[in-house]
Amino acid sequence: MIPIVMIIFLPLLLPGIINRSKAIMAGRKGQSIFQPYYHFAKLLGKDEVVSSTAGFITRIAPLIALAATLVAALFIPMGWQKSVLGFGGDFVLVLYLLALAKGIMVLAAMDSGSSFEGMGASRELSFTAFLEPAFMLILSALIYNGSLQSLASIISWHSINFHEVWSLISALLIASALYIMLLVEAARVPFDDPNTHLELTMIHEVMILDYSGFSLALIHYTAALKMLIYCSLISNLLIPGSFFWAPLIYFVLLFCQLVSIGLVESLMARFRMNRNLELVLVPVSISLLVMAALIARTLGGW
Amino acid sequence: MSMGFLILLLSLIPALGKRSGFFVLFWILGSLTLGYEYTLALYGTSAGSWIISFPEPLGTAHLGLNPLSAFFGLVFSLGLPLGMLYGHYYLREHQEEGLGSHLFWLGVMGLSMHGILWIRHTLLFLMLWEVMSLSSFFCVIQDRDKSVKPGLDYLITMQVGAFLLLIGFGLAYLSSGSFDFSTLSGMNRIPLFLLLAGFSFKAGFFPVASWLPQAHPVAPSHVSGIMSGMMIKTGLYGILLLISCNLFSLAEILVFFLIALLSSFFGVIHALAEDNLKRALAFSSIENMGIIGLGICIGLLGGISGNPVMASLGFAGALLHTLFHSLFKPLLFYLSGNVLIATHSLKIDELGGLSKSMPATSRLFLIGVLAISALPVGNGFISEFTIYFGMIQGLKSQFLPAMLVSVFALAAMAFVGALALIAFSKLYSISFLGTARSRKAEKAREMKAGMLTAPVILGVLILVTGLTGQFALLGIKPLLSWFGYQEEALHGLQLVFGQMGIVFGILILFGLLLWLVRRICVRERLSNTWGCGYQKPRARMQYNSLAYTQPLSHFLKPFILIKKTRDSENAVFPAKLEYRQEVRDLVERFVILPVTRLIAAFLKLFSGIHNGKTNSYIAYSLVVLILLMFWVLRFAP
Repeated sequence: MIPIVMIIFLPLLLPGIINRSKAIMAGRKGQSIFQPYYHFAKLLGKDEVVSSTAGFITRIAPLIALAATLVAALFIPMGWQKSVLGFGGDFVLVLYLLALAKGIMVLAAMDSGSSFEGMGASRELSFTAFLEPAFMLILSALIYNGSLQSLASIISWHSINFHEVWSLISALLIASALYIMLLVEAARVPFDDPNTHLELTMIHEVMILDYSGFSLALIHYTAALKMLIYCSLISNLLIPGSFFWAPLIYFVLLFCQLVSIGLVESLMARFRMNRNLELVLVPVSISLLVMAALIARTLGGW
Repeated sequence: MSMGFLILLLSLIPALGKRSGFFVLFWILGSLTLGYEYTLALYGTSAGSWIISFPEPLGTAHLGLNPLSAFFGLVFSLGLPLGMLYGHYYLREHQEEGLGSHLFWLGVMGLSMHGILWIRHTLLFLMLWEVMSLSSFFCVIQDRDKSVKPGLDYLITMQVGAFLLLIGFGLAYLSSGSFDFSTLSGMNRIPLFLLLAGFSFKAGFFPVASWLPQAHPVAPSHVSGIMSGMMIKTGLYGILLLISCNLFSLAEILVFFLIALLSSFFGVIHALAEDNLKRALAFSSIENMGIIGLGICIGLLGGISGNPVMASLGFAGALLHTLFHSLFKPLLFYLSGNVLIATHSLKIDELGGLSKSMPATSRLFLIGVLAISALPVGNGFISEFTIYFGMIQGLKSQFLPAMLVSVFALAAMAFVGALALIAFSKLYSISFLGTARSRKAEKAREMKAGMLTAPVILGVLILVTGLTGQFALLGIKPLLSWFGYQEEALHGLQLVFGQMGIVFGILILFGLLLWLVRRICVRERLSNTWGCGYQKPRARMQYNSLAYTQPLSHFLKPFILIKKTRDSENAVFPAKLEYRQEVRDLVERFVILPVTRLIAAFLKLFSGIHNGKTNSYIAYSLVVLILLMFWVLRFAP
């Protein structure tokens, strides 16, 4: 029950915290961290302006994307809580459900016939080409060291263990790979700048230029939920086992990640669009490194 | 057997009389009869067999089924009548000369495809194989203007493949003295590899697949659908037949793995760069054969590493993908046939906006795109998931090569899957979404119901098999025991598919609920697309196919050969500028063409002999006579 409540109510807090930490870094007071909720509620009640070029895809895409992301979230362990659903090999399903959400939003962007949205769509999809192998490699490293179970149990089995140096290294490396993936998937600096004022330089925001009202509310919520999925995976990897303080540690880790996203955003500029893909390769190489280290350890008996 | 084949043979009579309706009817009836027998044979109840006796050197020919051929038979008896049904309506719209002969060759092609599944005699098999290649060649060159050259290319490629098969079967005969298929088990390496190579020509594996993107775009759409969905599977049938009764070493499996990997990668990056609808689909067939090959390799690796679960999952995934590919690929080909008839163009940059003018076609195409890019609810996901599941089993393998291959294959398949998603979202969005990019696309109208019948049936089948994974698994199970693995090995997968069905149920429920809420609560107002303040958007301002794949082109440049032509004058004021980019087949350019040129150059050496002068011919015979005389004098007693 608790995970479902968290999936429904927690996501919109995430962009709120990021915005607030950015504001504080910039020396402003900033908006309330609950601002995204007000925004969401306001958008939900509004009618929509739809592009006259748009066909049926534009109308159903946000719904499908939300449904797919919600179902994927059911497989994610939320801190000390077990996931709602789970079976052996379910991470492939999670990966492809997220790909479905992304794919249908890309089609919706192309449906509007706007060149800006096409630009965002093609950039967004090209990231996927390197993120999916990275995800697979990360999971195969985890399975290699553990056993084939559901995503939730793989991750919790691998929770950091301070008494073993290997667990420490692999958990930290994998968490850093996941953190880069989080920055890409959540459309954050240095890959994408949600606050830029020029359509040419955005990715995720430019794909949804023509959305408004109800659909836009769903899209904001979906994006936040996707961020929660990645943040939860990272937090879970770093919680040392299950004990009394686990819920607290989960929320502290979540908070730290969000603040660090805010910090990155305040201290760094967005990278050049055409060189971004090279950075997206970093998670692939980190996970390859972990995998190779684990195999070498098994073979060489370090 | 006799009954089904008799009905199919009878279908040739209305074919010659140009009565395509009756032709299709016969095919549906015949396929139902044959399908019944295949089902029986698949579950092992009655694999009726016949024996034909020939004069001595040929021996006796056995005709019969085993579970493998029954499985492929089921694939054909499902796909062929649907293809013929679509062809019936397609040919009506696309009126060409020679309807009678086209239908006749179509019938012969289908008959020979069914026939090779029954024959257990190498020489007869080879003859029918040739009949299949020839008849499909005649089907491809229906539209004489532009299809003869690619068609000939196809025919010659098939002849090279058949030549390898001939040598392989010949060597097998020399070592055993029999033409029976039993000689194929435990073969020597050389004939075995010749046969595998020969079958790969038909199946479209990496270095020998360049006929696919040439022949498919020019063939009539129903023929491309049948060839890509069903006929290339006959090559796969041969390969699986050989794999089932021969043992392979690790090094050999690794070579197969490399070929499969290269096929899928080569296929998908070309599909990504291509801007012709049917050519892209043809390249994607190479990719899908590569994925099937990956499944087979995982199966083989599981076999030699003593991991029956991994092995059975690999083979099951490969067979499932074979079945599902024969559903979604023809669907996409038939629908591009609809697009071709509606717009007279296959270049996606000349299409656009078809989702409004052709609603049914575009929705069905979306189902095909879902399936082919292996997204959930399409059936491609089910088969790829099975292969992934096999690879994951391999991760825990004690056998290091199996483990390393699994890791590598997992990452590679995810990469190929993501590229396929990009390729097909590009095809779909450029040609169906946005606004019309040319006059041709503006004039497009939805097809009549007939042209949509076969696609609708295929679309429903795709969704049903995609939602219920266990369903198709039932058809695979008897095959696994034939391959020598326990059916229980798939138990885990079955449970997973059960749970996945529930998850898909939740997904669809969520989606419907949201749709209802939006439907009831939200009012819509129409307005222009946001153009950054620009008020009069034009169709040419939309993203095109070249721009769509631009971010990845930097990484894929080394692997694709792209010919760029640019006409511009360096005047002070910019004048008309033309830029054209064309994807060329790397293998054809750097392997096939040089080889054929070498052969041609070698043969040119002898062309001087044939100079057309009577006196030199008389001189030749004189020389020969004199030589003969010396020979007789030398060797005569």
